[in-house]
Amino acid sequence: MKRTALVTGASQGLGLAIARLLAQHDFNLVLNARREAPLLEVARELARFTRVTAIAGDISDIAEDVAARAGHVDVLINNASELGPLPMPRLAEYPWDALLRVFRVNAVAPLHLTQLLLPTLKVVINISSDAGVNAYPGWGGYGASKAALEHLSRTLAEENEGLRVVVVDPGDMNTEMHRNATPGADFTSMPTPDLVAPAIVEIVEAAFDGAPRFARVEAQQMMVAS
Amino acid sequence: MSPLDFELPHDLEARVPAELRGDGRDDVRLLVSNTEDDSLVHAHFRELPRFLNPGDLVVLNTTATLPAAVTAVRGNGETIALHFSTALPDGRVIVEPRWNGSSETNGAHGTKQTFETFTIPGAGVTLLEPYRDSSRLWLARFDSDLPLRAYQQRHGHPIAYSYVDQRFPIDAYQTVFARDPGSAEMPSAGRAFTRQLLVCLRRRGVRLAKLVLHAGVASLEAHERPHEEFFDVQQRTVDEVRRAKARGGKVVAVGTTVVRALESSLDASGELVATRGWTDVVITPERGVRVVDALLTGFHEPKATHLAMLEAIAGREHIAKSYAAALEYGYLWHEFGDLHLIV
Repeated sequence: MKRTALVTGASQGLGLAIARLLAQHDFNLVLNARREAPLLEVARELARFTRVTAIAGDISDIAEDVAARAGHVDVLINNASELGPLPMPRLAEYPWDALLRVFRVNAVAPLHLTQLLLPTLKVVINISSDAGVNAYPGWGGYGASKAALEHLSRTLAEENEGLRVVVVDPGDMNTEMHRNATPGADFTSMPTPDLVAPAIVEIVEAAFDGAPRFARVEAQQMMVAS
Repeated sequence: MSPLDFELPHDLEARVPAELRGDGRDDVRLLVSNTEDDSLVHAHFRELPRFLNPGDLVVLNTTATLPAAVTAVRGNGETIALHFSTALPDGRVIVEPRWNGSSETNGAHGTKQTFETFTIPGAGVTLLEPYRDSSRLWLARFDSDLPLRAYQQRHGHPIAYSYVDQRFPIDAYQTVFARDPGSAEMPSAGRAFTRQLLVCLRRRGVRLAKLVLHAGVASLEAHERPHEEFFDVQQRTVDEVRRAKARGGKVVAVGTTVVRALESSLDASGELVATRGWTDVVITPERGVRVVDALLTGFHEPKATHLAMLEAIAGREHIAKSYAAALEYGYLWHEFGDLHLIV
């Protein structure tokens, strides 16, 4: 029986690279992204390989709708992230309502989806960040939301026997989000998401193979320098 | 036809895990032999992805190794090593009594008797009858308050042979993808894999599939058939193999256990089907292989029955040429040794 994976933020960047690889690895896909046009384009591309359900919209608004249409989901990949205001404000000036939204998308929506899909879920991959562990000026809002996501992940793993929860720090990548976060930085030396995605698929497979109930993995540590 | 024979110098026996000789479990050499033209490439295991193609399927055995050896005392007070090989469905256990853990087996059968009982810590083992035509394996009864698996976890240690003179923890005998405890000995072809290498293979477009075969003790005499072993090949793996064949990819078995499991999962018409049970299949050149196109394996001892399987895949001359090169270029043998990709 084919397994089904739900990937949020699947229209570009790491989410798209993961979705492409999962399609080739014979997963049925449920894809979500905010913008409808690019999401439908991805869905058309991947429908050549597998069954794809695409549901556009802000995951923090439509989690219930996505879960209802997704049905049986084995793997949830919470990849959609909200970076917050740009340029990234220091905490002293952080607009509180923008911070609420960052937490809503990055921490609350992943939990909400997990709650809704729990009866069939076997593996949850929560895409986090080094900023969820270490403090960088300007990254405080985003980082705090990822720290919250990581703590939710640990607790979910403790509370649900049979569920594998993996927090993945994908590391610096050449993505639109990262270019927005640090304009002017040199991205040419950073791996593209399609180089990192195989590590995520391997993490998913390892979780199915009975990895520990909780793990935090730095994806680029799984890549051999080439 | 008798299996390949050669003399294995002692200094080509790997005595410690690769990570103690070099800088990681994947720090082993890889001899790549091409069955089309019998050409050989001397490579490093970390280069494995470049010898495979996008669309190829690598099949791994996820069995985990049990601490299957215990110290046993005979009725006359003599201390020996007792290896639990395979727990059979009828409750009996295939065991191998060994003198002080040495590989010396001459006369072993003659001096052990049916209904001889060994005392092991907190339990007993009684030999019932010789296992099939084996001169060393016995069907035995295990008497303990604990189930055998739990007993081994508590009292056992990993099986090791004379060329390994230190006792390594059970972790040294697990692959990174081990999941299902049940093997008496590690299927060692998978030992060198790291998560990093699996990711490299995925990035290359090589697919991975898994199955289970619980390996019994491997130290069979030249004339002995491999004994019965439990295996489980699931539908997902069958589908992966079918798709690999359909797209022209090679099915690459990691280890002889994977060959045995796949070739034991054929229906009457020779089609691969999901199968779970016990296998008696012996792969010989006469029988041939139907599923497996390539094999990653260690270097096998002279006259080992596994060499017949290698010959079934690649032919006698190819294996003889490969082994001559492995001896000449100092490849290391046994479970902690180097690897051979027959492709």
